[in-house]
Amino acid sequence: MHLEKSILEVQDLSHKYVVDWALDGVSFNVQSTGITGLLGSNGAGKSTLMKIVCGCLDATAGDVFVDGLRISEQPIEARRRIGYLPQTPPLYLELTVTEYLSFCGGIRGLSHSSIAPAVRRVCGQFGLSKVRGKLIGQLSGGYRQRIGLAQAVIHRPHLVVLDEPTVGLDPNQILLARNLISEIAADHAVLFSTHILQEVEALCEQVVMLESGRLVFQGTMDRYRSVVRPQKLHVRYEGSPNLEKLQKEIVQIRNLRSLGPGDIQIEFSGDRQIAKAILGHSRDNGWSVNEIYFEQSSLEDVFERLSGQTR
Amino acid sequence: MISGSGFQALFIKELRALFYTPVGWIVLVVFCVQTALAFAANLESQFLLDASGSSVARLTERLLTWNVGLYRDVLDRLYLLVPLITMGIVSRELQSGTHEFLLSCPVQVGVLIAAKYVALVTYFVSLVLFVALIVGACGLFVIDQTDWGAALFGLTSIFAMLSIYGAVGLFISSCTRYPIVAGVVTLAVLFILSNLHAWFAGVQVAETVAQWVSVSARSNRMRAGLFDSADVVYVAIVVTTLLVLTTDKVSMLRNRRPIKKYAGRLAVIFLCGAVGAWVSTLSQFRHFADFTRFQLHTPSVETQALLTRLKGKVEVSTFGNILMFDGSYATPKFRMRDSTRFDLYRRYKPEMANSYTMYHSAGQRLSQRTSRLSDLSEAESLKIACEVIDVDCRSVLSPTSLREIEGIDAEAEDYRSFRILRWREQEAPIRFFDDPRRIAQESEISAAIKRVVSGAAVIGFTDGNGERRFDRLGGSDYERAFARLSYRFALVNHGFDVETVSLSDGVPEHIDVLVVADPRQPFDSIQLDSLKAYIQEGGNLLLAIDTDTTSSIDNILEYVGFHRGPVIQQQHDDLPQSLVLASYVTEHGLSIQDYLQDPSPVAMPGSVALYPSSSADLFEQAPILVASRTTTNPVAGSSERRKPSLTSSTVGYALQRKLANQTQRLLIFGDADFLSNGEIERTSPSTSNRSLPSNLLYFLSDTKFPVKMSRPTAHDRRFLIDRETKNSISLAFSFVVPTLIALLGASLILRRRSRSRWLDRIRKSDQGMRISRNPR
Repeated sequence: MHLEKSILEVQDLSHKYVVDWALDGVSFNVQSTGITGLLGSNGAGKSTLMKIVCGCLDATAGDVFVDGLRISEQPIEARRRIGYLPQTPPLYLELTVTEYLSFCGGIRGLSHSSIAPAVRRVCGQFGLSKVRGKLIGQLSGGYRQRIGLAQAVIHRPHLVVLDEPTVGLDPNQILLARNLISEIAADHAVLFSTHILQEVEALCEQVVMLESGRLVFQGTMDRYRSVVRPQKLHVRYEGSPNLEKLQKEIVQIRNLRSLGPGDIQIEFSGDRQIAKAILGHSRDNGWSVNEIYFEQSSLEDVFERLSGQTR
Repeated sequence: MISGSGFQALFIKELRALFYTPVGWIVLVVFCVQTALAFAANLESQFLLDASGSSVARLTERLLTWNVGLYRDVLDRLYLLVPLITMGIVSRELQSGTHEFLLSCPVQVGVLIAAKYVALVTYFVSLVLFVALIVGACGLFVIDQTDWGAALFGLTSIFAMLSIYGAVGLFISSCTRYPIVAGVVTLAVLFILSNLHAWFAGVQVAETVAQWVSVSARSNRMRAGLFDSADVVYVAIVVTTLLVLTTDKVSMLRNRRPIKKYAGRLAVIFLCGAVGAWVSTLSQFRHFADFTRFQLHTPSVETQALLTRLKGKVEVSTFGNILMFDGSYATPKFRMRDSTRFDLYRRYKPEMANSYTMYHSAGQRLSQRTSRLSDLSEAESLKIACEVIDVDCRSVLSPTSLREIEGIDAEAEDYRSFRILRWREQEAPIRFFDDPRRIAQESEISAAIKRVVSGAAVIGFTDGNGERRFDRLGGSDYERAFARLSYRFALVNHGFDVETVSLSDGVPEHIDVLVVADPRQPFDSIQLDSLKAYIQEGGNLLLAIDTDTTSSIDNILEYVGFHRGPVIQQQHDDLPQSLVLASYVTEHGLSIQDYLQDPSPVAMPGSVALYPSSSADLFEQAPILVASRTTTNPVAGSSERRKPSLTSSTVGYALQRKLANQTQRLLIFGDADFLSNGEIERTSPSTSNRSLPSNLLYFLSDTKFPVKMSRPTAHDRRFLIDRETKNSISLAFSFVVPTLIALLGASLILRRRSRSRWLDRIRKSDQGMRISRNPR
């Protein structure tokens, strides 16, 4: 019943490298549409998980179903339904873009007659038409990333797996890559890994979070936001306010910390309305506020919180 | 499920990687230059041989398929180039991480590996094609009547070797992510595989295994033009095993197997390979095809017929006197290699086994000992020899031990090295000879086989009346042609036994041919009666008289229908007047004339003419040797008398008559020197005396011995080109063709790069135009 809704179902997946468990009993689903972010710090097990899903690694224990196919039993059929972009785009620099994409189409199982149209399609989709005859070795990192994305979808897979696709790109290229990922998601389910929270917020509808090989969160973006909402506020005053009074009169404030003259970090509970309360209280007391902003939670903070929740 | 398009896509990608990068082209060009230079050097040496008047028969073999031919040169160098091609084929994927992409594709690992391997082999075909280009040009323009079968099949040896080397390189490349490491290790492994059999020579089981594993040892038959199914199976097994191992290695990137499980799988793979290889060597599964024009690597029809008569076990035991020349053939290091010489016969007699025994004896002829040992005592010589050949002196038998343990009398073989062919209770010697080849060839071995099958033919030499002897080394005696053990063409090495016969006691029944050679002292009546009785009863006879032969032999001559004529004198420039050069008569009807076809004359010093008697009707006669002689007319006028004229005189007759159950054959010669040691060894003028004894005895023994081989002489013995054309061909292959290949490669690579840059410029100018139209 569950398999009909999910393009990917991971069941109690574990993997052991020699002595260390890279994954430990991970289970989650990916819906057949939209983007699912696989979030985790370095060494959390994201790449291991993706490699297992894509068939590059055999799991020590557990099952992976792609489109209902158990990958350990029907690996070829399951892999036919997946497009994969590893962390480093798998490029052959001596080939031209067309040659490379034709190769990818062929090895992904496209028939001979459908390769050329598929190459034209992805070249158009990813802005590669102008560089089709160019050697990959002579292209920039941004183009190489686009080629990597193009190869992952050339065979119209049901699930596209992208392993940290924005790593190593400059800010403009990151934006472009995010747009391309969004475009891919229009036609395919996308599972992409990252350790950048903003990227997840910007792109994903579903989030799966791993820490030390364990699943710490799976859910919608809304649920995710509720978990990772900011808990700290930074206020910079013109002079030095009375901190005791401030803490006494605004009840949401749980703790105050002076970082320097007029520079205060406030830990609070409740929603973001506290900013209005602080600004009103400062105005009433004649304290001039130069700057006020919410501090983003770090990934470590989020993991700590989520780990606490799962415990 | 094997994905055809996946295989094809990866195959094309690998080919592009090989041909769109400089390394592939550089290796190709280096290979071409090396190959062409080797060919040019070999061609030059054959031209020099030809110019020096040496025989250049079997040019195809000498230029291409022989031990010093082109193919051997190519095979010896392949291992240096192959690692450059194979080193990155998998390791580069591991290094760049593209292996993850490949593993995520809907293609089995085995298909990935197969596609890579087939691409490698396809690249190697380009190397073979260049060799084929040289072979084609050589066959069409250089050699007259090229042995195309041998030449073209020899190419498969290069392909087979490359196939194995490619599989080795592929496997090693899958074991590391560093291409340089893969290249160096591949080079080392290929070097080991090429030389393994030489290193383990003499080390019992290891040698057998090394011989089997050694790649170069396997390619020799193919190179020479002989297809052996066991060799093909070997190549297939080695390649398959390595591909399976490579597939396993890459699959283990997905899932590291427990060592025990992997070791078990390895054991199964190797066991399957070993069983397959063993089965392939079983005679019932083994097939041969000789691609040489005249079946050079196949026993002659006559030998094959003899081999089929050898039912049951046959053993060739080699006894090497390690203090003498040829003793090394029995030493452990050379046994395996020596044993392969009998593979020719094992094709038809798989049970033929080899055994080796070392013995020591300073012998009687010190000249036969190696010069290094000639000044030492036997004990000292033995100690040094054992050290040199690295054997325990206790394993080297004395002649006495040899007699006791093996039942072999080394003295009968003059304490030389020798072999004994054993079949049932029969034995026949196969000897080593004092000539450049040293070892017995097919005709000597076939004679030995025939000897154990049907017994020797016995030649009896009459003795006691001053005859020429077969056991004396003097210039006028017959030792060399009949009984010298170390002389390849001696009749004792071709199925004959030679013994002395006393006519006074009568001719023993077991004598097949009686030789009466120039008796100087008169026969008594008993002897004459004995000789007449022998002829009368149908005995075969070779009667050679000379100018000083006793007149009592005339009685026998008369009996068979002849009488002596005058002594023949000939005029020769720079040669003694007494030397008579006789020619063969080939126009009469006796079978002997079929094999007396040599264009060279027969040297017959001091011969007398033979005249048939008017009453000669006992035998069918055929003159076989005729000499022109200078005569003067005694009844002509004084001026005419001084003018000499040339008259032909017959100096050799073949006689034959049919009796109740046999055909009797006699040969009568007016000269006894033509079979002597001195004439057999004569080098000038060029004569055919050397081949005459075996031909004569073939007739007299009723074709029992020697075993005649019906193999025609090679046709490819003439160059079609002159020296200038040779130089042009060498230059074309050494410089022009490699340059063209280099230019082709460079233009292909540069065109791709420049086209890429051109597209880049178009793209940038297009972007610039868009920016200028849309300045925001």
